[in-house]
Amino acid sequence: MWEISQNLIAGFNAALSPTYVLYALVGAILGTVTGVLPGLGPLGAMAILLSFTLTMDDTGAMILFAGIYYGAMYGGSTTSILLNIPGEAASVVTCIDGYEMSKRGRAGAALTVSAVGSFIAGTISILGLMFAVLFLSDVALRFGPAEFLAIGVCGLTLLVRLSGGSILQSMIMILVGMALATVGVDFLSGIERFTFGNLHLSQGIEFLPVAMGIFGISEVLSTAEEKEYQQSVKKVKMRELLPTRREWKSSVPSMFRGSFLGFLIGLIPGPSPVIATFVSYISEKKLSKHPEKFGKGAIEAVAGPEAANNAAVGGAYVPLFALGIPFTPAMAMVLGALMLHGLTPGPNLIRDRADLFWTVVASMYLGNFMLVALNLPLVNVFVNILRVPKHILMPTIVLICMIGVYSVNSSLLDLLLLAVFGFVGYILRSSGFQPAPLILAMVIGPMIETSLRQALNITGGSITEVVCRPIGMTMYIVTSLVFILPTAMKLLRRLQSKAPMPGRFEKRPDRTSRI
Amino acid sequence: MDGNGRRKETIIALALLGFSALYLVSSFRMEIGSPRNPGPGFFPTVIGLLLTVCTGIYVMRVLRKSAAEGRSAPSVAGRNYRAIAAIIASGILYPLILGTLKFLVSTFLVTCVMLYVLKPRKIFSSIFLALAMAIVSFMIFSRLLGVGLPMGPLEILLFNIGG
Repeated sequence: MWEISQNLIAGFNAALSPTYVLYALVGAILGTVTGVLPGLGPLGAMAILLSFTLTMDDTGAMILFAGIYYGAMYGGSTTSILLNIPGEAASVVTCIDGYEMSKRGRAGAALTVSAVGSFIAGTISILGLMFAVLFLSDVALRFGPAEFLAIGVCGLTLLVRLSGGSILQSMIMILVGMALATVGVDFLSGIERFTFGNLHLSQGIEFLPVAMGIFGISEVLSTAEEKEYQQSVKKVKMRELLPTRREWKSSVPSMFRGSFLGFLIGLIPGPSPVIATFVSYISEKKLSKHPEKFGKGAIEAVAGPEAANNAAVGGAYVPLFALGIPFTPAMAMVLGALMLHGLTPGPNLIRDRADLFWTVVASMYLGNFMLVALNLPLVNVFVNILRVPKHILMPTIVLICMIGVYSVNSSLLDLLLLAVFGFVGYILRSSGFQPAPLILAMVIGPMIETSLRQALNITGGSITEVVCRPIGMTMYIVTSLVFILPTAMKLLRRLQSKAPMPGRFEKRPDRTSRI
Repeated sequence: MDGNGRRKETIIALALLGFSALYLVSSFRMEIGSPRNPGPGFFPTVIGLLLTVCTGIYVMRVLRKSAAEGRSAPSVAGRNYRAIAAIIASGILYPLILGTLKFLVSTFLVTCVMLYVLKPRKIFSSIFLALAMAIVSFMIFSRLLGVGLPMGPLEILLFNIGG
């Protein structure tokens, strides 16, 4: 405990340096802006800025990305409450009751509750992140290739189940991502794979143009196809921001429940901030004494989900820092930034680069504080961002993406890949495919292949030995249950509904006739 | 889903199947090895097989759905396909001209095309904005952030303004 406190103090010392404070501030502002703008989420912002992190040191890059991720959660709630426009997916639930509150003149209270809930959740999840990472990274040091294989396979399998949409489409995306990851020189044999004699491809398909194309350019294309419309922007006065005592009383327990729930859900693969908001909303409704108020402006329905989506962000960092495996697409971007700086996340990172971990953790506290301090007084400024015309915003984003991709390797092929993957991402999105699993699989794929080949080498080719190790086996069983149970339950319910109910559909046997 | 959407879904499904088949055939050409000592083709073969099966099922589903729904009227209402085409064309054009025309001119051209297509009625403001965006982005990325951009005489001149 003493060591943790000392590390945290050292982290705060570093995080309070002017450069890192500036990175945290820029990240928080950029995150809020991307959260406000519909279509451009934290993922797109991270993808666009990925290449520019090369001009910073590794800690600075992590601080900037953490700020963007948190900031987007704050910014998303602002437009949900004031305009009924979810800036990003994790704010969809907030629209339901947040906008209803706004219509009743309680927008200020909803915004304050949302910001304070996010702050509490952020703080709780950072505490959880600290302890969970330290515990898990200690355990992970004893993991072998079989365990890492199990984590990778189970993570991707859970992602298929939890990411929503068609399971088959998600599976295809994961497999395409893994296939793309195999392009280039094989790390064990040194043989070229799928390069077709192209020298550029022998280094593999770069993560950066794929990520920026699929999330940056394709988001621009999706937004460009929609017709532009002018949004009327509501103004919130400062004195309206204070909730009543009754509103505080109703929302504080929801904030804490949302925080714990969000953190736990953040540990699971998939779009955890989005799932966390839905689970929080449902649980708040079930626990409420007045569930009939939900959907009509219940403040608990704003406080819980808003806390949950922020807490999930902290949770999502745990598998990345402790195991080196990203479970969410945004974490894949963070991993990409770490790899661009030559760092390999995993259990050894906390030991070898304790300074980075603790400075990032400390900057998360600062970032959270900055977001509350910025978001409430500047709410009207952020909402006005929606007035920036689309025909100026879109080319600007495309330009930033192009310069960003070029700046890393000065490669014209990377620029071409950016355009191709932008188009591919747009086409896939418009056909109902989620491109996020593709990116995650592209990042996790090489780890799965390495672990599989190493595990098979160690066990002399015995698949049973690879699968049946205690930790791995437990993970496979749990994952199988998660995958199978919902379908089994659905089937059971269908069978039950088809079975005749005694007393409703059947005539009771006539006792008198027997006598 | 309308007729256009259904056709697009079928094309995407077939393209994915084609990609899977190509990937699988290419992976067969590599040394697969044995479970005891997996070769470079081992993992790609497993992935290729799974991918071909999944995309095969997907193609069948899409074709069955198309047959069940039959033909319906195509609908293109509300979609700004001109903008999409312009952005993609700009993305492909940019790497082709960047080496020859250098940063300022190629960025100006590409941005101007995008701005004009997204707001066709304002040609002069598109030119002015594109010029401003090219110069401002050069100053920010090249001078402020130190990004190495393709330089010609114009860029060198601009870079040296202000010392």
